[in-house]
Amino acid sequence: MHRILFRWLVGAVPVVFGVTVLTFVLTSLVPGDPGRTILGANASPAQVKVLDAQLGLDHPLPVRYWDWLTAALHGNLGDSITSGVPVSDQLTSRLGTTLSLIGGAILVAAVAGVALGVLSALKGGWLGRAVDGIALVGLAVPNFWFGLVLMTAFAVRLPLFPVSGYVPFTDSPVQWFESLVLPVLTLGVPATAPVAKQTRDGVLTQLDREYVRVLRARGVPERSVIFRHVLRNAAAPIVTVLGVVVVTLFGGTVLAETLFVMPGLGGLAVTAAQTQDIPTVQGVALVFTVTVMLINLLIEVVYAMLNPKVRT
Amino acid sequence: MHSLDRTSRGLAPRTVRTARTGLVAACAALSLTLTACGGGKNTATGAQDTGKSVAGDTLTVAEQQAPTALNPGTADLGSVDFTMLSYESLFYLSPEGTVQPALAKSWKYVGSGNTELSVTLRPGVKFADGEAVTADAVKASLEYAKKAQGNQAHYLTDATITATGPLALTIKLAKANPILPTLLTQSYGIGQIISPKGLASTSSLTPTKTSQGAGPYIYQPSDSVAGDHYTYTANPGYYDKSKQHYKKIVIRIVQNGQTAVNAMKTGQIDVYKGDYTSAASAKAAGMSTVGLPVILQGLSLIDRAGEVSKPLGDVRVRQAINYAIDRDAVTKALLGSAGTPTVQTVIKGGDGYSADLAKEYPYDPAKAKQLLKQAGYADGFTLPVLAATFVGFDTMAEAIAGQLSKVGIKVKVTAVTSITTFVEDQTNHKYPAVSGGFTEEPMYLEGLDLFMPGSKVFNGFGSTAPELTELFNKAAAAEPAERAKLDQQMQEYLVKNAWYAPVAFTPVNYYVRPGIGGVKVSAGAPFVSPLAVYATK
Repeated sequence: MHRILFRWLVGAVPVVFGVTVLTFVLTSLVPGDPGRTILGANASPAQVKVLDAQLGLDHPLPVRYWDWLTAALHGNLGDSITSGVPVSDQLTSRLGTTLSLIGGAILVAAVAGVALGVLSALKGGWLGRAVDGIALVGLAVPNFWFGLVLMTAFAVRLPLFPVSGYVPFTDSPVQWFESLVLPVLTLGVPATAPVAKQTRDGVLTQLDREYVRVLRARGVPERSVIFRHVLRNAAAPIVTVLGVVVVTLFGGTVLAETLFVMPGLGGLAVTAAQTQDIPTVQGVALVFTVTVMLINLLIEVVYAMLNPKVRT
Repeated sequence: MHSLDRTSRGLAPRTVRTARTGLVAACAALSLTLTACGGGKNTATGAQDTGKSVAGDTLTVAEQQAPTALNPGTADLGSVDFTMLSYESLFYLSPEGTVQPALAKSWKYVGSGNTELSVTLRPGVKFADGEAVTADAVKASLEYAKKAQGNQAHYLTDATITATGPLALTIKLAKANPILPTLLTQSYGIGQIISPKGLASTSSLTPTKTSQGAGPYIYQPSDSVAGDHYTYTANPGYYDKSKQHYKKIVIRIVQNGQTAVNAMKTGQIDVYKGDYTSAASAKAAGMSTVGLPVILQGLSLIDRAGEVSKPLGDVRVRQAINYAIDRDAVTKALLGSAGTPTVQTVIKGGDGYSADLAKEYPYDPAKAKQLLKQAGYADGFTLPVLAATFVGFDTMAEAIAGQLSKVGIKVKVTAVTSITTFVEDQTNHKYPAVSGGFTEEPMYLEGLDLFMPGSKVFNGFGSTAPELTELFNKAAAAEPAERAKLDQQMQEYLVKNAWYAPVAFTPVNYYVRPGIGGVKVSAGAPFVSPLAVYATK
């Protein structure tokens, strides 16, 4: 386990550094000018220049990055150049929303995906084909459209859940749950498809193995064969797929947060990028990168637990 | 006609005020400043059914764009709805477009010429932080707004503010300004007064700190998330409780129109400021729609001296362009019933509008060809046009290109993706014409922001015309009755000399749930102030 942690650390540091450099450079390359964005179209070039200087945007890019990096290493992510709000405040006020959203979607994708996959592998026939079909549809249906359908059906026509907004868990656990149901399903249901497909393929592969025939011949209950042996052996690639799904979910949060009007990091990233609010973009990129890296670590750990060979 | 102002700076792609609705996200950046008002005529064209006002609990308003700041001195016009609740302004612009008392109890222009405004403040008013509202405090706030980098600061550039008593001050101007009281209403950030404590630390006027004004509401940062929702509660020390229609006001940022309409259906939102694309679904959901067509779209023929496009230097060519555009067809195709074709830069009922001028430039390609021939361009010419990929400016440019091709003018559209590039390319003498948008304003402000040489962006080649300048200066110093005539003469000059080739106005709409009153607009006040909204049941 220590080896895994060390390997992860060695890989994580350059990745995080590289992402912050890339984000900084790419955001700076976006056509536009933060000063112009803040002051509006009818501000004079001189006014824009003065404001850009006040924001430190007149310094060379490497200098600006170095300033940001040294401050960040001291725990200061700076202030938003558009609103003046400390970036760390923005991140903390929105992190809970995004993590709730992604956590819920992963849960839906994992539970529903594995259940559907196992079911289709065992039953085969039309169910298997249905899982294939659902997987295809799940990949093809735009999240935004799916979210609108859910909203119309379960918030407007059948008012079970709120159309929009997010209630923090600390304010009301029940309302927190209600506010998450539709956006989580919007993200989680399509993400179920690849998990179900991988589970079905993995289980079918394992079912053909010799050890399964031996277990059955020895009279081991079928439930035990499937859940204690087959699924365990099929789990490693499923976990890998889940890892990939999680990464794609971060992109999906932008849509879900916009559609259901949730104050999350995805929407913040988009708004900040549009206004070239580099400190905010950097902050969001940093959080996303570290979160993804931590998820990768978790996957490696789970992988190692499932497959002892990896630990050696 | 280049960019929008108060629009949802909505996506808008998002002026008298430039539209405050959001057309698109990109528009958020387009914060022009024009505003409406100006003692315009009361020609209300929209108001939902209203009933008797009753005490309301919570009003939830949805807008498409988050404010760029909560500092009135630096906030753009798209942000004033967020600051006017907690920063009382000197004057109040009513939904009918008339200027009424607020912090100022009375006021008058001194002498003739509209160069000195004398203001007497309401006694006994305090900021929410407990300090008294005095002439010195108001002076300090106005001085700050003048120096701050806000996009309305230029309205005060030549102002000298003097406190002449504890509650009296004068504002002297180097140049006449006939609508200064309007510019100091809640519809503009510069008129929203910041307390001395707030001015002592303007860097703290952010969404994470409480407000520092004397408004009817106090901003609650602990119950707000910047970019998502902004919460205000009634100010217990406010001087006029009758203006506090609700205990709490929440402004939410909702970019998706369908989500906003669905949220209205379920009672999550009471009033939604959106663009015309939500009109059908809002109507189907039983919501009232209130709005005026204020966002002008079309071509701005900015190279009027023919510097980079010699043909445009000939007024006959510019007139030919106007005759060659079938405005009804383009409007119907691009905007449907939401568009209002126009050849003027002001809306019906607005300052300078003329019913006679509205008949100018009927679609007549034969006349256009004739004019081109007279100007020596019988075979047409190539016209480079700058457009942008947001707010449909590029689509409009392509539609106009199709129209002009029928008379031999080959339009070469360059659509840029960045507002900075869009603005800079309007002023670098690169493109002789621009396809853009502009929120109509009183003629005085259109002069400052659109067609006078001092207009930094929209008059990119610095076009001047002695006749127009003389009319503008006269109107600025004139009494209201005379000014109305001069405004019409200015508009007539612009139309007959074809400085623009406008196509249509599109509306900024407010969608309103039943049980809400006070949502009204007029040519003098085309944007609804949240302060005017009240509960009816």
